[in-house]
Amino acid sequence: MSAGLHARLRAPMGEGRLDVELSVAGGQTAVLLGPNGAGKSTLVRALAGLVDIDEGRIVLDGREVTHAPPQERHVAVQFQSNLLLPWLSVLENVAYGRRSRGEPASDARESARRWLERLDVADLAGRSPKTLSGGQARRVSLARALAAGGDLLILDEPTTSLDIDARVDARRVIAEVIREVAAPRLIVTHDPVEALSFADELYIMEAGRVVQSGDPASIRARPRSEYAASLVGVNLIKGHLGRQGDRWKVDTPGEPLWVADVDLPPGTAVLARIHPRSIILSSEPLRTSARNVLAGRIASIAIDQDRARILLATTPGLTVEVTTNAIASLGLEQGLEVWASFKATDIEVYPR
Amino acid sequence: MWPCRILLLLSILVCGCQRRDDGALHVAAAASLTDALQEVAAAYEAAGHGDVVLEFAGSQTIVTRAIAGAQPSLFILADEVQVERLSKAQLLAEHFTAFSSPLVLIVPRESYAVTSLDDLARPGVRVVLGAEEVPLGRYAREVLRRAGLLEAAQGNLISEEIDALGVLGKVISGQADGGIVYEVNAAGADHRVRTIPIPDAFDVAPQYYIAIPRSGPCLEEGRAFHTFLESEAGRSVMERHQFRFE
Amino acid sequence: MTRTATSSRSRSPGRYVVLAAALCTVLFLTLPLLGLIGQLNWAELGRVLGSSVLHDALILSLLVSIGAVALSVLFGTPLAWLISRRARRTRGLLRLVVIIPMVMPPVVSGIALLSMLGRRAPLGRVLETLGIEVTSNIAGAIIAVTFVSLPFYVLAVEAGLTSLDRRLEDAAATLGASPMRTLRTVTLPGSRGAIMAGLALAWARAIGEFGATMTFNGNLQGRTQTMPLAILQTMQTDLDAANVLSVLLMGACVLILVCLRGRLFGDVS
Repeated sequence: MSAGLHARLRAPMGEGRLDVELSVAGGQTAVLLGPNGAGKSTLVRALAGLVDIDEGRIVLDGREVTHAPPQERHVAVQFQSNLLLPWLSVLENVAYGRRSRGEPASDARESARRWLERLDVADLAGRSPKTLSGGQARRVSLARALAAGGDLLILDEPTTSLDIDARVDARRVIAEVIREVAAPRLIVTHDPVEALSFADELYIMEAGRVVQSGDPASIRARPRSEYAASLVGVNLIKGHLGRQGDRWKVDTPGEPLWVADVDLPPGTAVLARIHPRSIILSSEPLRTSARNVLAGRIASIAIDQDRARILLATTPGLTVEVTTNAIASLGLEQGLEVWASFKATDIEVYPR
Repeated sequence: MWPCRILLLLSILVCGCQRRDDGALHVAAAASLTDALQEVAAAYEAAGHGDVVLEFAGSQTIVTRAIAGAQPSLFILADEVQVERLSKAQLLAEHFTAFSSPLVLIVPRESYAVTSLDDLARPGVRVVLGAEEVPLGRYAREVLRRAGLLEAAQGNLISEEIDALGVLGKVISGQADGGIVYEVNAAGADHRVRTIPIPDAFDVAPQYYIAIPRSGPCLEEGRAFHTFLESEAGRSVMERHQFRFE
Repeated sequence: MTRTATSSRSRSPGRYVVLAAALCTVLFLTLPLLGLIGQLNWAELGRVLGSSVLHDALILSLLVSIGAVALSVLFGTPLAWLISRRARRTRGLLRLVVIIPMVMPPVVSGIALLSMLGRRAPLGRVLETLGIEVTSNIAGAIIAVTFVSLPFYVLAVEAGLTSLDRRLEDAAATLGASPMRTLRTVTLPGSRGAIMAGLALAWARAIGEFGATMTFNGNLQGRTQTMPLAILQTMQTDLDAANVLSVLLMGACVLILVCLRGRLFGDVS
C-alpha cells in the first residue's frame, strides 16, 4: 500500500452503523460531505482513535493504526468546537502538540509562533482562548492542528460556525495553508459549496455510508442520489428507459420524459439529470421545439439575490431557476399554474 | 403564600417548646445515674406520686445549663465542685450528700496485662483515666495518689476521657490495658470488661450530691422525690445498681 | 437590553423573598459566632495564650489536618477520577462507599476504625507485631481525621471531574499527549476549582473533627489532643477558657483561609 490514508471502518453509530471505505493520498484533499447525523463525526473520531472500530483497518502512511491510541496515531484534528485548552495561552495551545511529542519548549513555541503568523493571528499569542472571537478561535485551532503536524490532517466543519463574510475569508486561508501540508487532508462538512471548493476527491455520506464518491466535476455531472443532486443543485429523476417508435423516453411515476438517443437497452433503471437553468417557465402552454412540457402549480419560490429557485408541484417535481425579473414579468406566485418546458437534449441520462 | 406557612410552622415550633414538662417534676441528674434513677422514678410514679421528667447529662453540663436559665426542680450531681458553682450563682437552697459509688479497676476481657492496681504503674502498660477536669478523673487520680502510683500511672496514660463511657470504650476495645471507672459503669458494661476491686484503703468512695434549687417550679415535688430516694424503696433500687448509702 | 432585564427582575416580589432568605442565612451563620466572640472573657485571653494546652493542641491540629488533607489528595484524587470514569452503576456503588462515612456519626466511625485497626482488631494486631503503632499517637489522629474528611474531598473532586468537558482530553490525546500528560495538563487543571473546593471542605472538616479522633485515638495533651478535644476537655471546668480556645481556633482557620484565598478561591478562570 502506498503512502496516505487507507481506511475501512465499521463501528456502531447511534442507532445505525458506520460503514465507510476511503483512501486519500498524501497532499490530496478529500472532503466528506453529508447531512447532520450521516456519521461524519463518528468517522472523524474513529480515524483519530477516540472511538474504537469493531471491524476494518486503518493504515496511515504504511503504518497500521487500527487500534492504536490517539496519541500514537499522529492524526491532527481541528475540532468543530475548537477545544482549545482554556487555562493555556494561545501560544501554549498551539505549541501543545509539539511539546507533547517531546520537543523542547522553545522550539515548540517558535514553531507555534510561525503558524500563528502564517494565519495572521500572531498578535493573539499571549491571549487566553476564552477572550477570542469565533473566527479567531477557528484560526488558532487550525494553527494548533497544523503545528502538531502528523500523517493525517482532519478539519471538522472548518467554517460552519462563522458568519458568511468570515466564511469566504476563512475558505481562502484554509485553501492556501493546507496546500503546504504534505499529509493527506480530510475535510468534513455539510456545506456543499465548501465541499466543492476544497475537494480533490468528494465522498458523499448518508446514514453511515458513502453513497457516492469521485472528483467534484463527475459528481456534479452525474449525482447518484437526490441528496447529491440537491447538493450540486440539479434535478434528478429516477425512472426506467423506454422506447416509443424511434424516440427514447424515461418512464417516471408521473409524466414520461422525452430524452435524446441513449446507448442503453430499454428497461434499464436510470437517473435523469436536468439543470434548473435549462427549464423554461411560462404562464401558458407554449408551442416550442422543446419536447417536454409539464404543467403544475408553483409550490414555493426561494429568492437568492438576482436568481430565484422555484419548486414546481409537477410529477415528477422539478426545480426551476429563473431571474427575479422573470418573476415580476410573469407575475409568478405560489399556487399559480405554470408550464415547464425543456429540451430532450438537456436531459442527461445515466444508469442507476 | 409560603412565608405565611413558614410563620405558622415557626409558631408551632415555639409553642411546642414552651409546653414542655408543665407541672411535672423535672430532675436533672448525673449521667452515671441513668439506669438506676429511671427505675426509682418508675417506682415513685407507681407509688402514686406525680410524673417525673428525668434529664441526664454530665454534672458540669447540668450546672452550666442551670446558670444559663434552665430550672430543674432537683439536681443530683456527681461533683462537689458543681454544687459550689450552683451556690456561687445564687441558685442553691440547700444540698445533701446522698450516696456514693465506689471506683473499680476495669481491664479488657481475656487480657492479663493488668491484674491489680499496681500494674497500672508498670512500664509499657496502657492506662486510660478520666480527664482531670471531670470528677471521675479527679477521683481516679486520688486513688492512684493514695496507692503511691500516680506519677508512674500518669506516665502510662494513652488517653484522658471526658466521661466514664470514654474510659469504658478504650478498655472494651483493648486500646487500654486498664482504667478506673465507677462501679455502676462497670456493672452497666456487663461482661465486656473484667472488674477488679480497688482495696478499701485507697478507695475514695465518690459522693453524689442532692441539690435543691432556690427557686423554680415544683420545688415541693423535688423534695418529695428526694425523700422517696432516701426511703427503703428508693435505697433498695439504688443499692441494686451498686450505689452505697452511709 | 441587559439593563431592562435587571430592572424588571429587581421589581419582581420574588427577588425580595430571595434577598430576605439569603440575609436570614447570613445572620444564622454569623450571629452564633459573634455571640461566641461577644462572650469572650478577655482576661482569660492572656492566660490561655500562654498555656501549653493551646500550643500543643494547635500544633497537633495543624499537623493532623494537613496530614489528613495530604492523604485525601494522595488517595482521594485517584478514587475520584475512577468514580468519574466508571459506568453509571459502578459509579453509584462507589459513590455510596464514599458517602456512608459521611453520614455515620463520627463516634461510630471511630468505633468502626477500632474494629479494623484497634490493638485487638485483625489488622491492628498484625501491625503491632510488626512494631507499627497506628493508634494513640499522631498517626492515629491522622487516620481518624482522614476517614472523616476524605469523602468530602472525593465527592467534590469527582463532581468536578464528571463535569469536565471530556473532549478536551480527547483533543490533547490527538495532539500526542500521553495519558499522564493529559492528566497533568488537561484533567487536573480543568478540575482545579473542584479540587480547591474539595481541599477547603476536607480541611474544614479535618480541623473541627473530634468524635472519631476521641473514640479511635484518645485524648492526651501533647500526643493526641487536637484543638477540638482540648476545647471539649477545658469546657468541663472552665467555660471561659474553652470559649477563648474556640475563638482562637476559629481565628486560626480564618487566618489560614485568608492567606490561601488568592490561591485557593480566586476565580479559576
